[in-house]
Amino acid sequence: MIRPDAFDRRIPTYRTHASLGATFEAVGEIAAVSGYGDTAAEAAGLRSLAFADLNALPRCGFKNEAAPQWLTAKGVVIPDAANRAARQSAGGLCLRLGGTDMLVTSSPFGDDDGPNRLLADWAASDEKPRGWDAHREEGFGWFVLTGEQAPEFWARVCAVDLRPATFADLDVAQTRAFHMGGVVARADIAGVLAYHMFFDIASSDFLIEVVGETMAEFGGTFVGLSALRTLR
Amino acid sequence: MTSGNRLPEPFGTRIDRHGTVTFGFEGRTYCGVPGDTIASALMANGRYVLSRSFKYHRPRGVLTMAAQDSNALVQVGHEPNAFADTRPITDGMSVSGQNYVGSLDDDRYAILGRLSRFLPVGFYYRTFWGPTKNTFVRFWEPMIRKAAGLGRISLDTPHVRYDKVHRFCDVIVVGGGPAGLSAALGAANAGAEVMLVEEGPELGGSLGYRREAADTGTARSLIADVCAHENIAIHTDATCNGWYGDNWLPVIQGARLFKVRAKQVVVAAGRFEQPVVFRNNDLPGIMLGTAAQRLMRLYAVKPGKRAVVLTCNAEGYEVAADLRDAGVDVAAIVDANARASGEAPNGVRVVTGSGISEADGGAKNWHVGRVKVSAIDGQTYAPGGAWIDCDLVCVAGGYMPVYQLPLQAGARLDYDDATAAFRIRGVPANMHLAGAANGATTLIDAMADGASAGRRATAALSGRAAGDDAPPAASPPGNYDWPLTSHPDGKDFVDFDEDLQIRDIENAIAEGYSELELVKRFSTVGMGPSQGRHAALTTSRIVARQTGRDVATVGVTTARPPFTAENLGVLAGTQHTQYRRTPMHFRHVEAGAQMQPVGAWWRPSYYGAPAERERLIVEEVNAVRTGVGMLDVSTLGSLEVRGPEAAAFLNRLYTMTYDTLAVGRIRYLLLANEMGSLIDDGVTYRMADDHFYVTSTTGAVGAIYQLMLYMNAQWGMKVDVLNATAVFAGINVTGPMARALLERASDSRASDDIDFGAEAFPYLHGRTGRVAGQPVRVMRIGFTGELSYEVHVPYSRGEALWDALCAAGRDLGVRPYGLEASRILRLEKGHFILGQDTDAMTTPDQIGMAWAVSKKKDDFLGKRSIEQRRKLGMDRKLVGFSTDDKTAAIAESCLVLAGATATGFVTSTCWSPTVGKRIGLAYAPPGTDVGDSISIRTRAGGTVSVPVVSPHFYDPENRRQEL
Repeated sequence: MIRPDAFDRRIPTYRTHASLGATFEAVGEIAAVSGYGDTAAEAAGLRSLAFADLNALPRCGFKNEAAPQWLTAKGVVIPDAANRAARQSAGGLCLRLGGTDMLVTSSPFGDDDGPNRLLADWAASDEKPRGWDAHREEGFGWFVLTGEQAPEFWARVCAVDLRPATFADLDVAQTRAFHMGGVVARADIAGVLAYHMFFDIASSDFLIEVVGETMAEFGGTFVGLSALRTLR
Repeated sequence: MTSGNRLPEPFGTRIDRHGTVTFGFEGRTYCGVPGDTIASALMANGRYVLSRSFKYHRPRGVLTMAAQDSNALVQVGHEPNAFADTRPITDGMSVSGQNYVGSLDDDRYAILGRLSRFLPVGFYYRTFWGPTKNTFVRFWEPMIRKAAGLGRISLDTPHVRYDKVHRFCDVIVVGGGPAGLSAALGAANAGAEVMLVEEGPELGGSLGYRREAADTGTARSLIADVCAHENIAIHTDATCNGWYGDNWLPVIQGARLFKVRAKQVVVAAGRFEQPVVFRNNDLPGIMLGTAAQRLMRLYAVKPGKRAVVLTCNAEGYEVAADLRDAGVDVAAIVDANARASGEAPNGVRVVTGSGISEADGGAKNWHVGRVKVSAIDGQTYAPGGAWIDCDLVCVAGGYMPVYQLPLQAGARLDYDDATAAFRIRGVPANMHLAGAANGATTLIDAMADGASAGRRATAALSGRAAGDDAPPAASPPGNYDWPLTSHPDGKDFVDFDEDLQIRDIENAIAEGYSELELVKRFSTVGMGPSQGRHAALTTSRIVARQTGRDVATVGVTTARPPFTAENLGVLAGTQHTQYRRTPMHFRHVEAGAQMQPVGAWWRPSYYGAPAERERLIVEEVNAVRTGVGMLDVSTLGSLEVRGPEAAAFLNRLYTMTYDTLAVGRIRYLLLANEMGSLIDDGVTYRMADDHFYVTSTTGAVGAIYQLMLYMNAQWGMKVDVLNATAVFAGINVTGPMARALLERASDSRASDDIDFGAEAFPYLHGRTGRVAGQPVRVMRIGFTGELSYEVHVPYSRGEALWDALCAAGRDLGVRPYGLEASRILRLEKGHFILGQDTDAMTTPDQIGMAWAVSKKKDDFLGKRSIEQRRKLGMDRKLVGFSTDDKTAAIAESCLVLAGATATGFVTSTCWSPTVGKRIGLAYAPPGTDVGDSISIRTRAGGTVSVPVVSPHFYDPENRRQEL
């Protein structure tokens, strides 16, 4: 059995997930939530309403004038405009949070080390300018919410209209939800409505508490990577 | 279940006659049927008095049957101010009346009605000040507090989950009556996404109870079409409680608040039927005509046995016909108009040109027993008149459009003297009126107007006008300019909420409050639960008459949201309070820490049981002084300031100089605002020529980050600022054995590469490398006065590093310590805390920090103010004090006195386990020096004189932190 506290890096919410019956799996030097005991049920929940904690998965951010060019040179597909996202060949995303502020994620399946490689390349490089490390892998908690009831979920926690008809695939909203500032991006996974969200990492337990309470109204479920991989 | 007052079908569309619901009212058990409201069930049982009035404690019964008046306010269990006329009964429900002393039936305060001549409007402004200076506090205030408020608040109220839901729609239609239904259908058929909001439990509005609609299939088919339409979201039992900018509308449905953003609004909220003012017009048994219709049609309740209908319009005649159908003996229709306004049922006497000048309810005003019908003579009643025995008076006195939402959106009310009615005019482009609110009062007119409004709203979505949809001609408003002459014996109520009579309004005007808004504030008219729904028109008429103006000029008072009372729980919502946790949070909890909130963060206060708090804190202090301790400092603000002009940026911001700071060195930071007052401090570690790692206080980092962004935007410097507070966790390793601990931890992995030797890593230096295999930034600084290293590590690695340090230091006796020990340690060393030892006026000079203010720099934030204030001279300074007196009740905020004059206050104090004295910091007069003494007013009320000493109580030579 994988113990999250045996790793040098730990998601801040591992105790909360453990209390929900989670099992863990190694993703590089950190343990991610693999599931909660019933992958089939979790996979079914993905299409209705499901929430996954992706804090363990690679992500990174770079900002400042040179960042877009440097990332492009590394093969990252940059969105044309701010508040849009672009899919990457390995299944990840690049979110353009501002003219020169980029957030790059791995795929949501735990099989993509691209952001970590970018961080390593950036640290190893002495090229100047190459943008600044925005430390998104540490400061931004990463979660994903899926399923057709997700818009109703958002109606409980966010004042922005995130319904699919108005918030298109690959749209990004920098807004307030769960009583704090954060980033919400719609990036459907294999045709399943999916919202990726990035909020203060230190508030992760709080966020999960609110999510759990809000999802209860819809019979939503927590899911792990095993269930997400059924969409791969 | 049936009773003598229950009518046969088809009356009673809302009730299920086959069931029984048992509930209690005023200690007695009553039976109703499913679908009954409290009021309908009570009336079916022959119980008419629901509550008492607020001021004179007069018996009150049903007035509107529509939750629009204070008469119906009752206490339901823990909940005060529930509307008895709309609240459904449930089995076991416990209901009581409000505003009585003793019992509802025998209220000892009912005597107040007889004393009304001694309680004129505004009397409380003058009465409660005497006769002696303290009478208000000792006598009047307790009495007022006892009398104030409506209903009883219970501290045992069970929690209810309230929540909020955001909604977006093309068109919101407020009102589910014939006009609203037609509007919703019109808009939805044109492709709009519609939200339909109806206050009642089902759609239909007046279709459910008005005689005009009863004989047609219109209601059923219209409602069916709306319910079947996929573009219409229906919300019944829901109240749109206001209009706010950009069509933001709160819709309350039970324990849920919908926060609706609509592109277009259709207001089809109908109209308020108006009562008529005459003596004793508030008696139980006197109700609006629509209230009687609701009782009969919806609840199958026969409202009385013998009725008089007072009216000025055809609707009154409909009421009479309904009453006749229900088996009520209609003694007379009293019509204010010279000619009959409608067609009276066969055999019913019509008295035209007349009104009711007075009602009689017996000695206790318990129920109307007869009314006096008098001829109308202009603004008064002709002498004489005839008494008619009755137990029911149905008043159809005219209408006011439901004007609140349109007026909140910027519309106005225009008054037409010819029809004695207000009309809403000037609605904004994204709002549309429909139905009775728009003056279209007949069923046909209302439906046509609603459909038109729906189409206009839909057309407006695409920015075009619906050219063929001119509003239909208005129906006759059915109003009358009723006499408003004060009865010599009063009790002619204008506002039932506050028991305001005609003479109260006249007296307010006579006092000089001639403007309506002033009349309202002086008399409280329109300020009660019904918010002037039934008083606004009448009050406006009285003010107009008394001040020689027309009603249009006087207008009505401002119609602010909310439209009706809303629970605080609705506003509060789910009450999620954000909290932040450091990565070591659960390690603290597991170690027995008592956690305390610091802003959104939770931090350890001390470790161990509260019963041993003092001992544990001292032990934590001693551990740092003699061994090694660890404090979780992850919450401290951290900022990345990077770019070719980063040093210049910090130079312009902070008081010291940073372009001369060598890479790998650390320097103190002090930040002032443009007033020259201190707002933050911290340190910066220059990690590269173009990279500064900046720390800030926990509470200020958000503001400092914003300030940096703001100043950078103004200055246009090549600098990037990142708030990295949650990016890094921090651990302060401190104490004489701190180095030993870190060296042990640094030997645990091959990758560890920081030399913690005294020469290799001196005081005020920083290092980047690895400790226990974790990538860290280490700053050698000191807040405790001991050898200290602040180790910063990526957030995800914080717990692992904490674990590694605990393991490495186990045989060194390493001990985590909390905020309480930290505060003592820093005070022993004489370090101030921004916000605790400073306030909004503190300058660097006042706290002995002049050394941290550059005299060479051309400019920095607050420089000019600091210099100008320096020229004015100091008016206080922060000094240290100490005393051996362990019992002295000195605490933070205790005043420093010079004679009887307060010259300062204590900012920090504690019993120092290291120094063995009570020590502290306090503001004192600027001439105060070491060797002087200051007088402190203690918590016990006495004064103690304590010597002024150096604020550096411990190791003033700094030998220990520079080991």
